Amino acid sequence: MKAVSDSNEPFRILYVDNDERRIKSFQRAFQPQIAVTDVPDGWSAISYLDDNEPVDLIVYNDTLNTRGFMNAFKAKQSRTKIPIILLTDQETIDLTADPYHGYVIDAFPYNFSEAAFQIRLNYLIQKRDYQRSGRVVYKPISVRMPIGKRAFDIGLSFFILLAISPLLLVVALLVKLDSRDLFSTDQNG
Amino acid sequence: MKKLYNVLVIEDDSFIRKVLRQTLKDDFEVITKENGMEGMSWLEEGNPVDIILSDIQMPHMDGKNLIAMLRASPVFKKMPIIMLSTFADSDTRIACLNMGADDYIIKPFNPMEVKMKISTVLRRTEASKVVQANPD
Repeated sequence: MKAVSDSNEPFRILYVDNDERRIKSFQRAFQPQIAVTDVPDGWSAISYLDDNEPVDLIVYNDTLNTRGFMNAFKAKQSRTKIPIILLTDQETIDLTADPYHGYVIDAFPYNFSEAAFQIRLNYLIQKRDYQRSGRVVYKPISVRMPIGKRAFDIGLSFFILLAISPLLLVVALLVKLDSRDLFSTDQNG
Repeated sequence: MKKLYNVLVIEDDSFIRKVLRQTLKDDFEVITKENGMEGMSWLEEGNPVDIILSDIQMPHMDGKNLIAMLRASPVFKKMPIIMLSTFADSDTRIACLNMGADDYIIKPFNPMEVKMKISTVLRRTEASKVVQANPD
């Protein structure tokens, strides 16, 4: 097995669903970014995962005995890094509870918005690259100023300030003459 | 003793992470992560989180992307999130609130204000849960 680091490679999705139309429209919607393999049920999904290289994401139709699939899926440690998104009609779903905890990362309704799924997908692709690149830690950059430049800055600004100081004085005087108090406000409430 | 609420703090500056942990640890369970990517992963792993406190400018995934992500997800779309940022202009504040942030705190912050804002947002979300559970 070769280590691949090309971020342009498609995001591999195992789509577990028995609805041909939904599979087709899913493929059409996210075409260039993803490579979809579809299987009709949980058992075919398990055997696909056993025989092939790991996919990046599993999309699972909740009507196909999710619990049974989850148990078989969890039985093998090497698979557990693959995130799962459920397609479901459950109103609320608690990802902190079993059997989802630690495996299912999100759940979309069957008629999900493509734009919302796209945002989720972009993130998962980004995350794959992020995990591959290793967690890069950015160190703060420190820059040392050359002595000559520092001296030039201070010297020049000193002379310019000196040169315009009479003007500044005049302006200050005008301001003073124009207003009785330098600063006053009248505030109520 | 285990605290009632879990606060997920997402902030790339380790000093501010420390300050926030100190500020909040007496009242909340505090989890800290250093960017949106790590924070989102924590949520996806199924860890309980009641509210998120997030910076805006961070490497890998910034605060705005994090809000967009949460609001796009059917599971996390109601997750309360308070932004914490040095951006004081009203454009950024409005943009964040418009994207779905629940509140906005400008740095430098008063620790007590952070604590109180977390409490108020939690109070509102908890109240709405109660309302949903008992429709009459």
